[in-house]
Amino acid sequence: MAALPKRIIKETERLVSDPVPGITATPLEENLRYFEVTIDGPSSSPYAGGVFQLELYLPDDYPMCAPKVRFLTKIYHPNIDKLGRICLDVLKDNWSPALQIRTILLSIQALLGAPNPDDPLANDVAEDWKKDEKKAIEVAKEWTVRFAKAKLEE
Amino acid sequence: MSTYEEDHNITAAPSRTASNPSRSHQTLGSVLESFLTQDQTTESLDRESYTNALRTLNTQEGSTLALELIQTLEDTPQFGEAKSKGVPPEFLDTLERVPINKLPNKDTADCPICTNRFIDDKYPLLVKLPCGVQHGSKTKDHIFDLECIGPWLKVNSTCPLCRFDVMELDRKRREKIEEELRKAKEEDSEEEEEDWDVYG
Repeated sequence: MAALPKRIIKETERLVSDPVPGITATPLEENLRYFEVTIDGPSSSPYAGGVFQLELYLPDDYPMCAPKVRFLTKIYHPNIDKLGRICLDVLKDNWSPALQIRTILLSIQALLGAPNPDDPLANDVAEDWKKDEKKAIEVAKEWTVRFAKAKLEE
Repeated sequence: MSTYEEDHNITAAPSRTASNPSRSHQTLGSVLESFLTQDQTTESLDRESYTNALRTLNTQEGSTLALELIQTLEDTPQFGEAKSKGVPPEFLDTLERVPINKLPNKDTADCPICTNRFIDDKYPLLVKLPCGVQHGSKTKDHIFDLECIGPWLKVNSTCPLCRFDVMELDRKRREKIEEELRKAKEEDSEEEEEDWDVYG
């Protein structure tokens, strides 16, 4: 395996020594490009109290292309589909090599606080969201309890 | 005696005409082949080649599917655009170089892409993008290692810090030149007409 670029080492060190509040990211020992991530649901959102697990992978041409990020915990959100894939501009066309793992994870946390049903990935969820926002938020809360809190109570 | 190929340091091309004298489809086939097997690093073919190939298919075989495919090709914006999104290689040479000693914060300044301090590099080669972002009264320059910004600009012509399209100025300049050329030509042709009046 090719040597890990200095930038990745520096980013990893800083993620550990100076973590972002409500976010953890730990690289696997056997693959330092693969991170296990947790994001706390923002307090003012239907995801409050939940801890969501994600996986993050840095492709070979990182930082010339965006990290690959996916939710592992089931989540009811108009911009996150059944497979956990995330619809977020900075992960696609708006990626910039000046962005970092920490800024991307912050953007994802912000997306939890501000669902955007007009730019959906999970079409059925987005439709529910637009039709009856109150009900959709209830479902999102339910799912948070069922899937993102279960682990904590074990 | 050396062969023609050895003299010219090339490998002999398989002689298509000999084995397949009646078929002009060979190139079409290879175009489609490379389309189907193309990975992102292949840059040998562009939208135009595909369109031409499909057009050939349409005229020779009367394939309406080919016409539909041409339409699809034209309607797919990201196809072909992926290539034109980056800057041409010679553009990198035109970027303004910045001597490290000219940086006001030369001891702490770092490259936003590799995040290494410029000063830690024994021979830093820094360039400034033409963004000109206003920060209060003074402009804040967006400076990168040429080594870092080069690969990025080749795939995407925007500044990593402010998303300013660095080709924009270039494009405007080019449009202006073309406009002037066009005007000059028009004037020329007018003069020619006058000449006809005199001598014709």
